[in-house]
Amino acid sequence: MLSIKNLHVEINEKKILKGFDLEVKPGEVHAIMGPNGSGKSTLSKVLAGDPHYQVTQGEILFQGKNILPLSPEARALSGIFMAFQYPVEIPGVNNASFLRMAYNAKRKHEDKPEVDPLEFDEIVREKIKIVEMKEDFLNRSVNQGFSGGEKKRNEILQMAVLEPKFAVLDETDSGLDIDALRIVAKGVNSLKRPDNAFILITHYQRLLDYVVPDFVHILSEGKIVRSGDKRLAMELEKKGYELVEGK
Amino acid sequence: MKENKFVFVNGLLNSKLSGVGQLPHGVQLHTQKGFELIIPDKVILEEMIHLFLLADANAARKADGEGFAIKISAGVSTRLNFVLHKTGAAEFCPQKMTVDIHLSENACVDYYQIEEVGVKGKFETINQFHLKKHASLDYLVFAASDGASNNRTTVDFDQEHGFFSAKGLTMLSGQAKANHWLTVNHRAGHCISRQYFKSVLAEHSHASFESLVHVYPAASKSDSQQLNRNLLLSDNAQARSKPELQIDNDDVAASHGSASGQLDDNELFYLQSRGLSKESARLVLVDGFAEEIVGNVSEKDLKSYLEAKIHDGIQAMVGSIQ
Repeated sequence: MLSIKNLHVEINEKKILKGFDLEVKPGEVHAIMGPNGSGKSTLSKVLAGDPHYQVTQGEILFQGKNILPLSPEARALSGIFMAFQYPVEIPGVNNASFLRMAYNAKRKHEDKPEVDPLEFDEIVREKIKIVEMKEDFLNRSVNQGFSGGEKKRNEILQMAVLEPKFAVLDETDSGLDIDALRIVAKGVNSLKRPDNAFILITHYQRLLDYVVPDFVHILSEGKIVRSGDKRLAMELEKKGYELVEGK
Repeated sequence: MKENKFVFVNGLLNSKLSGVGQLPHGVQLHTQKGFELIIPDKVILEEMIHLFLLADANAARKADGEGFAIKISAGVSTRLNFVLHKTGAAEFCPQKMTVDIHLSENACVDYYQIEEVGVKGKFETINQFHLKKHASLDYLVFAASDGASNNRTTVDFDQEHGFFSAKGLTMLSGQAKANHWLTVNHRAGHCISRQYFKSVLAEHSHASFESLVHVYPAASKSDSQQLNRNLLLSDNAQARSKPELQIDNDDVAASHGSASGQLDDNELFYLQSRGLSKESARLVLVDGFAEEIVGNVSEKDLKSYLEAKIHDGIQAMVGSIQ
């Protein structure tokens, strides 16, 4: 589904990813862990097409197609979703209207008829149950005045509405209390299917208690230095990043 | 929209285009020399008063030198929704107008000033508001004319516990200009003033917000906020922002702020990452920027009208972004 080969990325002439490789197959959940500055968030932003980052070498194939020349919206419409570490607040833009616009953009791309506000209301009311959000969240401006946990749940709601083929969750668990973490994890688990895949970027093993990954990778200085199954995350929790220092 | 409609063409009342229902008992209305409305104590005007000023090149016109005067006297415990709507695609007449609103104790007035004159030229509106004890005035100005419009607004809190809110949205393109000059005089204590002005500027347009809040020595417990935000959609658009405070009393709460800039790259990327095209994302962001000003308009039909105007205007503006 996703194939990343020898990816080199920089921002403001600072090299962040230095030869990153990863293969993700349908139905898989990959966790990427690593110390601050190792390149985790850069990876998620490059996958989503953030124009601030320059890819200087390597390739990213999604379902066999090179996505590097594609705009962020073209990547989203092809089925890629990123849950932001710091979701942006957009004053004056109604959350439900925004969700419907995004949903309809996807429908249009798939040559399906767009849905009107009433039809969408039924759809979103079902989805909102997944993240245990109150319906009044839909009538507020996108992320404005939301707590940290509410913003992260709103990201999962967007993911639930858009049903991407591939999602990367950038530290969605950071700053969450245990209840919010459980709700976010429930959202991810309920959206898992044999034909989609996830990358979870996280600092902590605790998210992986709720969403069990098939693979755990440790990122250090811009490349994966160690891979394993979920036991690697537990080992990392015990020993810290000394585990990979000096490789 | 439930309303009493007064249509002045080139400054002269056109009774065929106007539609006025039965006004409550005691309300006095004079339309021979401008527009004068006197609301006696304890009268609530349920229906909006909507005053259209149309400019029409083919119709008779009031002599320019006379200007146009609106006087509203709201008695004790009265309620009024008033719209002043300047529109037309001819040279605007009258070019100069004054709006005097006197609010007696506990009077409550919502005043909407809509400017969408489709011709180049200069015109000026001078607003003067006087508020007595516990009076409340909500003022909203929407400026989207093609020419140069000047708005000079003076607010006087003559007695304690008054409330004044001013919201402004300026949307300009081409060579259009709009200036808002405000002076809010907190002469008595315990009064609250709020100002929130925004502008969306495309091409070579220019907007200014210059506001002075003066808290007088006797005005303890005054509470004032001024905020101005400008969104520049072109390298050639200009915004001038000058919120000022003159405070002659130690026991007040006053704040002011101003920000001008272009659309935020991070917000654009966020929307694009959800499948919206760059142009749609821009449209959504500018719409949202404007919505903060008109989103709380309580008259539903008026709100829908403004939102549709804003949306259409923004579509044209966003299309002009390089």
